[in-house]
Amino acid sequence: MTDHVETDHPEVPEHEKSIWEKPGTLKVIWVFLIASCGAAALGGFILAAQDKMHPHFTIDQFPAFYAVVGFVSFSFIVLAGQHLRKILMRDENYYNDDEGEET
Amino acid sequence: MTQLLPAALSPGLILMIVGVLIVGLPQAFRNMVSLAAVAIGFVHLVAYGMPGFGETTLFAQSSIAGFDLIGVRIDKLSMIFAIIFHIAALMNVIYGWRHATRLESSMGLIYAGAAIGGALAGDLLTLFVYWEAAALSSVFIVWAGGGHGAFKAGMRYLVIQVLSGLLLLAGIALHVGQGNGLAFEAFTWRFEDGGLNLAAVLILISFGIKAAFPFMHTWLQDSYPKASAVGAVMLSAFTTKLAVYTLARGFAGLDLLIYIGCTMTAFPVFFALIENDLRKVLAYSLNNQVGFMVAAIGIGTPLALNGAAAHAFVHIIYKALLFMSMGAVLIRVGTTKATELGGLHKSMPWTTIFCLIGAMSISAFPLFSGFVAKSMITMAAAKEHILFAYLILLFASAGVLEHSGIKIPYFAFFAHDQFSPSHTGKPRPKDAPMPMLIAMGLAAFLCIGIGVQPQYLFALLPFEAKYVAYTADHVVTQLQLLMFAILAFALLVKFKLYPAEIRSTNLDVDWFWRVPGRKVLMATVHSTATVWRRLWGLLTSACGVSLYRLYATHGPEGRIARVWPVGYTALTTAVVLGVVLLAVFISQ
Repeated sequence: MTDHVETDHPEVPEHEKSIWEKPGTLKVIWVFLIASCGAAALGGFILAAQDKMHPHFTIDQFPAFYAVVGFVSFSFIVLAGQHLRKILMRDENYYNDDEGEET
Repeated sequence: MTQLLPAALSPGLILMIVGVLIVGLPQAFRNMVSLAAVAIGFVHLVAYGMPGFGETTLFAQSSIAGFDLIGVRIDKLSMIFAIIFHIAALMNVIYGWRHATRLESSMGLIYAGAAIGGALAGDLLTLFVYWEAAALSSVFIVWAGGGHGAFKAGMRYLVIQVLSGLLLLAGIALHVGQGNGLAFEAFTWRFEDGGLNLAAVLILISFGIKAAFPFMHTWLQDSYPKASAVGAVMLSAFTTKLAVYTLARGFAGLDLLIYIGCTMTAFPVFFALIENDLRKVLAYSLNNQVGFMVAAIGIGTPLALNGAAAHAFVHIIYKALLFMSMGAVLIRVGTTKATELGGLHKSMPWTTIFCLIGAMSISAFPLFSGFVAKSMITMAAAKEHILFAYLILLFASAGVLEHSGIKIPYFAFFAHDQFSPSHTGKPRPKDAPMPMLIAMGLAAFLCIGIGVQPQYLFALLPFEAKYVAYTADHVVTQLQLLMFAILAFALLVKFKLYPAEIRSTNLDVDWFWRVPGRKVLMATVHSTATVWRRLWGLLTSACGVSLYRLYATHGPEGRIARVWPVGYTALTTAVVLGVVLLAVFISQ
């Protein structure tokens, strides 16, 4: 998909990279992210075992229901939403708002 | 607290009057006086006293032509909105300390005053006056953005806002014609015979335009991003939230609003995903957030209405914070287009931190303000067992995280570094100016303060409903939703499935009136002009022919002129004169 080809973003020299661009930091973020996901899911199962989840419907009785909703919703929005561009995307100056063409 | 100013004087009027007076003052005085006006208005408001549940006190009551007007109504619902509008006005004054133009300072204060006056108005006619004042003052803020684009967006904005006012006035006229008074209370949606109440329908559409209901929403995305850095912050707070207040007052429990609200939360997330201008992303996000409030008003239980009020309160703060951070970027870089941004955390660290606090608040992370308010709304949907609303609100929560929680800070401050001095040859943009940092700091403080100590916000809520924000299951379920959504983002970026930003215009429903609608309008104009030109041509040629024919017969060379020469006329005149002279001579 051509949309995903990143446009010309020249590599930033090493001395200008911040801590947030270092590969080491990115690794830490990945570990933290996966750990927090695991903890949140586990928390759901622990609370469910203690009968403290208080579901209101049948569907949310699954202890990791919200994890599934979060992951699926987000993925759906991004994967499906970008196809809207095929219908809705026009040139940046489509409405010609700054040209003053209509007076 | 003793009131120093007359109780009949609405706090909103104080801001509006001062807003008019400061227009001639130099900037430093203008700011000081604005600050004083907001402080005085707030003290005056608090001096009315905090009403208890179900308590209402009325001030500025008068009767004109048999209609009872109530300038100020103090109850818990009007109070919470008036308080947050004052806080928003304060943030606006500080944020615009150096960058607000004369027009923006003045109109910003009038606009805030109109929103406060509207929230406190006890009757529909007073509400209408403030409703229009808010529309008229805010359009100047759009125009102050500068350029032909802002001017045209302002004109479109004005047309739609005035339409809302006209519908409100028509609805009020029908409502009063039905034998109701002018008092602004809940409307009857259906009569006892099951028929729709047209007055209520008109008023709902009027409120709906200002709340940016689906298909009536594009004025918001059209105009707000065209305002200046300061102007967009001013605009973000008042119009839609005044509409939320009026909906809560007039249409609480109307089922239709659940469907409208759910639609509002869901569809903007897709538009926000593909939008390149980050301030326009925030405008879509605003739509989505107001959707939560509208859905809550539709659910209509005390818990849901408290959720709507609480969400409006916290939303005004974090939305302003996000607009302020993008405003700071606009001031320093000159654009808020994602394609032109990235890596700004290196030189704008404070703005980055404040933006992240706003992003975490709007995403409803525990310990941030969005969590304590939004969970009240989803909880209300769950308690009423409205499964579809519950699921859509959860879906929309993931959507908020996508566009406001991640996209805004990620593309502006991280992503691809666009400002590397070794590539641009220029120093990196500086952090936001000090007044902007102070305003953002204040908003960020409130976001975290309310998130950590929600009891102060809960004390302001309009209805009696038991609610505990921090329970183990709330925190765990919310963290599941957010962390797994972030995991999805990380995986999508890693596998290059996250769409790159593209310089573009994305069509919305306003295309229908901006392109084909405009063509139809222009075709009508042209055909009317053509018909008129033809008619005029026929008329002028008919006149020309008649004149020519008259000339041909009566002109010097004409047939009649030959029979009746000029000499004959002169002779007749001389004879008449002679007779008159003779008559006068004889009579003497």
